[in-house]
Amino acid sequence: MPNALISLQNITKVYNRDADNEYRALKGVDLTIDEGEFVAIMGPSGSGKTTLMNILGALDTPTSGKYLLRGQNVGDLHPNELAEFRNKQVGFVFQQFNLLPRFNVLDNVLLPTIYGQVSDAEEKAKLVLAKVGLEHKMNSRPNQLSGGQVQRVAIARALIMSPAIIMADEPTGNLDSKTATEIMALFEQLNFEGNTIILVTHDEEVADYAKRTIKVRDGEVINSRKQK
Amino acid sequence: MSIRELVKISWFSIRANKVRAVLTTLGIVIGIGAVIAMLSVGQGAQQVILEQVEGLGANTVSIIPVANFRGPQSRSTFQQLLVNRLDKRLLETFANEVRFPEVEQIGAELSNSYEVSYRSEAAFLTVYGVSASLFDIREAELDRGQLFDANDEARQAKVAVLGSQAAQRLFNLDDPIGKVININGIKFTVVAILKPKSAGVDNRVDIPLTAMSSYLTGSRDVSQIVLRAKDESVVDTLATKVEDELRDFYHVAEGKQGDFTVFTSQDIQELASTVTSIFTTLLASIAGISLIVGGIGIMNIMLVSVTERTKEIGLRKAVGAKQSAILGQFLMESVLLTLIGGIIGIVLGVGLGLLVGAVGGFTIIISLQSIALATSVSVAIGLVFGFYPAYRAAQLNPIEALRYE
Repeated sequence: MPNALISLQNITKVYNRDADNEYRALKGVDLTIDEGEFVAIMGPSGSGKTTLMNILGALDTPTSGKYLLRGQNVGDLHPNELAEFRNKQVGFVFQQFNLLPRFNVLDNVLLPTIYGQVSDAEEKAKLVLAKVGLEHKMNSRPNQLSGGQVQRVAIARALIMSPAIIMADEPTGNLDSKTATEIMALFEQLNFEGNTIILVTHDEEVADYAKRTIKVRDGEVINSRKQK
Repeated sequence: MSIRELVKISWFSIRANKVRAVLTTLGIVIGIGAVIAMLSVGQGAQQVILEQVEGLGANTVSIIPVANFRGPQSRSTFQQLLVNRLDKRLLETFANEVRFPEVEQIGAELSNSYEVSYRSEAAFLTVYGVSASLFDIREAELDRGQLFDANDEARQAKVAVLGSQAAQRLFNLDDPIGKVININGIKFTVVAILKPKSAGVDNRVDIPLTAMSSYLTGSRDVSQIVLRAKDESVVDTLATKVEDELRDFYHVAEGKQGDFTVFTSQDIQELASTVTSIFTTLLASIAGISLIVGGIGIMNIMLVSVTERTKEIGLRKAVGAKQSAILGQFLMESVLLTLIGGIIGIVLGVGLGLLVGAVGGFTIIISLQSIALATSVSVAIGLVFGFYPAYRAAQLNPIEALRYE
């Protein structure tokens, strides 16, 4: 596959290995995600979808198997290299937003840039803030914003390093349905502009925005279908 | 990640918990303040003592009698101390220019406590019979009147030179010059007053050695001989020669100790310097203990801070912060806390030192070294006591940290 962005090969994740309470969260996952895809990972709690997301986002390493991103084996990276990988290649959007309350919007968006060399960081921050429609809120504190606006700031923060993938973990879980629709429309727009988006959700409606749904159950991918 | 970023982040987080930061740094403030105050008082005391020692004269070799315990049948040490004197003939020996070319001036004194009175005022003061040359050797500074000289000494003049305190005690506001005082029933005329120098000098009454011998003690011996060397470089040589001469004079057997001791002005200075620096170190160490207590407070609050901000740490790790970056952030925060505390402590300590000096009448020295020391100590406390909390923060698992509620 010429434009495969992510390739997971027989990924397993075992917690408490060789102990009485050994738990196999992933039991050999094979998955390919292409450049520019909009993928929803679905599954009930305990299915292993969070573990899968953590591995894709380089927050966790697989017990065995290969995780290639643009040909680079992420599973082989040392903690410092993993940190750099998260910094450069992954933009996280969380259900809890996770903005730093003491920092203003601009500084929140700039957060990833202090851990990696970025030229014109402030210019870029203004650009991504404009993209999410919040350039006029740059100096506001998170507690002065609505839930939807807060999540937009988080999305801007995920975009600033121009990452290979945007990982969104239940991004609308704490939002009302109207705001959720707006946020999902923003993701659609970002995908349209060429960003690869991986969405983790248990909400069918939210998953419907994605072009492909990957269903996970009991640590295995049971279904991967294109919707659009 | 730049230092500027680190400072900014740390400053934000300290500002977010102002009351807590103030209370936490209080330990450091008090500790550093105490160290600075103690050092300034200690170093001030050191200088005062050194000045006093210098008041004994520069480049001098002094000989004083000492009592040596010789066995149960001998007199008590205290009695010996009172009785022991140096033979006055030694003065002629050391005046021999051929044998002691290093000697520039010779002085001797004989002291005893007497009731000294002027009209209705009376006080027990130490009266010193001194050779006139001793004023010169001791670099005594004249306030008023005229010091007695060798002629007065030769004719056993009944004149007295008062230290500033002694003059004050006997005369209050009266002008003592020309007045007659009574020393142990003998009348002496006050001819001069000395400038204040140190407690020891200010309380003495100096009269000619010859007058002391003739009218007061009846003894021809002296209680101290002071030789001034021509040059600093020959002081030690002179001291050795004097020691040999004394052993000879008093027939002290090889390996035995004589009833005298010889010391140079440098010996005294070194001794005073050692004693006062021990004193200063002791004071500073006691104050230092409060710094350790302060440091534990810092560690405690940093551990709380790390726990409170677990989620923030998880987020920072998720967006690419390496362990070293998290470690640096929390170390910077604790160092900033202790440094701020240290600076406030220095200001407070200087103020306290000046206050103690003003109230107690001590000399205070606030040296750049002690301020530099206090600053580096406060940074060091931040590093040492901040390390464990910062290390804990750096080791947090990002997934668990993000999930922390």
